Amino acid sequence: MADLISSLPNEIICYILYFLPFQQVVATSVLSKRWTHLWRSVPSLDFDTNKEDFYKNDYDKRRYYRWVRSFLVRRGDQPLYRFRLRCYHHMDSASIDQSLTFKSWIETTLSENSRVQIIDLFCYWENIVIPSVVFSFNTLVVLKLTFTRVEDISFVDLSFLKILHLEHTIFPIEDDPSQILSGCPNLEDLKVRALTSKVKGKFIRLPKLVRAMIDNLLLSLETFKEVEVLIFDWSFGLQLSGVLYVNFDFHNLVQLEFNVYADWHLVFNVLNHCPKLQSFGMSKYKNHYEDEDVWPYPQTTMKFWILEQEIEINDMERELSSSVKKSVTCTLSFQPANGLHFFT
Amino acid sequence: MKMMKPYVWLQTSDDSIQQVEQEIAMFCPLICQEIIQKGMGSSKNCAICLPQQVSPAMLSLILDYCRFHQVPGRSNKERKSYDEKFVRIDTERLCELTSAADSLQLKPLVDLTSRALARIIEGKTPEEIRDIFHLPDDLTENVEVEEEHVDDRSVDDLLSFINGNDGGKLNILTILIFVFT
Repeated sequence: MADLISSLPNEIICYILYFLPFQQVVATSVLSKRWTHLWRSVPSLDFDTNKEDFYKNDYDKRRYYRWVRSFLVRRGDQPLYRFRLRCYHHMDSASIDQSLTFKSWIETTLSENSRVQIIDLFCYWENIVIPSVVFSFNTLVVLKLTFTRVEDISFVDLSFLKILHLEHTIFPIEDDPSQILSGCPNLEDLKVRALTSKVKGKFIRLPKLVRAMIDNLLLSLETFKEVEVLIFDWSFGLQLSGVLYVNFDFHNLVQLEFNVYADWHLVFNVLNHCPKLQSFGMSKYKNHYEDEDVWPYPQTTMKFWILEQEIEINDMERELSSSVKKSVTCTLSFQPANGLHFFT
Repeated sequence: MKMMKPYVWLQTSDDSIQQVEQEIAMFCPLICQEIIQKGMGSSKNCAICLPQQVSPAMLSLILDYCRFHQVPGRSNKERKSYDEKFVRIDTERLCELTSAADSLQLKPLVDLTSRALARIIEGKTPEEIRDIFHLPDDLTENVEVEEEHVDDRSVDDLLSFINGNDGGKLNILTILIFVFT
């Protein structure tokens, strides 16, 4: 039978390999003569310890880190579009020199290949320091930093950036993390969770923002006035109370979620300012709202998912349903939340 | 006389000529260029000659894809579920489709089929990949690779490492050691 893949040009084969983890990309070098050097042209480095079962001891770890380095060096100045690093495992030897290793990888990636579009770093146990060059690397389209430490954000120029996710990221004490956003005028998707910052409630103009997930009010709610999806997310010790008072409409908002303790009155305050809402989700709530409240959106079909103990779901369902009966056209459906197991 | 030219003539790799809706065929940048820049496809005599990767079967699949996505007002969810079903075909046809879509410069479809092929490869050993794609093994037992990169650690070390691992990943690990150490 004929070779199925040989009719495909090298660029397409590299594009297929683009979606695969690092180890597998390199492993294709033994498939046949044609494949021996193809891996070098794959424009992606996706190193994910969860996808492998090798990470058994320090020896393995050091060797694999050496290979990543080797991979970066050997592919030379071939364009690299994606640099994704996910390390979930704890090793005792995590130390300062390791953080320098990561820093040098990032710098190598960005200096030799001027076309990186996606940087996605998640290293729970490692002390990754993000060099400041990342924040002025203006081919970036996606930047996701989780469990990292940022060196310096005094100059930010990310004019092509569309997706920015910052979670559990430590900034220098004197810096204001919201400063990064001033350098991202085309941002469409923003996630900020568990950041340490003294600054609160700052307004930043993000005209193209469509989707936002926020946990504390690092930015003023007016920043999110034009979004279509707004998710208040949970982080340690946070309760939304008092801070959530709005006196303007979210005129584009179609999806609103509270993955956080919030007072029903506050939730209703926000709901009252969402004329186009189609989907609303609430995973925790504290107070029952009063019976006389009338469901304010007679024209809208509301979808609810509620993550709470069953009895409370029933309570809420009953109360909401009875309120809804006062308005004729609104229908409610209740469904359990998916993928939010970290609450339980 | 016809006011518009709603159909376009296309010639596939087997030299057969067929008429298809111009609006749909124009979804393929290559066909679009032929029509706009060269004025081709307006009659059977000046049919657009498609690249040899495009067999009649592949053309029909590609036109199905274009026809679905050309309809405005479909939700992302609908498109996504159509795409998912669309690539549920055997690997041989998936490869042919990738090649045909690439030759017509139909990027969204190339993206879709490439991802599907990546999912097929993911987690497989080189042996399994060779079986799937009927790749001939023209490397004689990795000897070349071995000679190029001399392992700096002892053979015993290597063997004990390999023996410590089980089946599936062994192959990939061995390769990584040869390529990188």
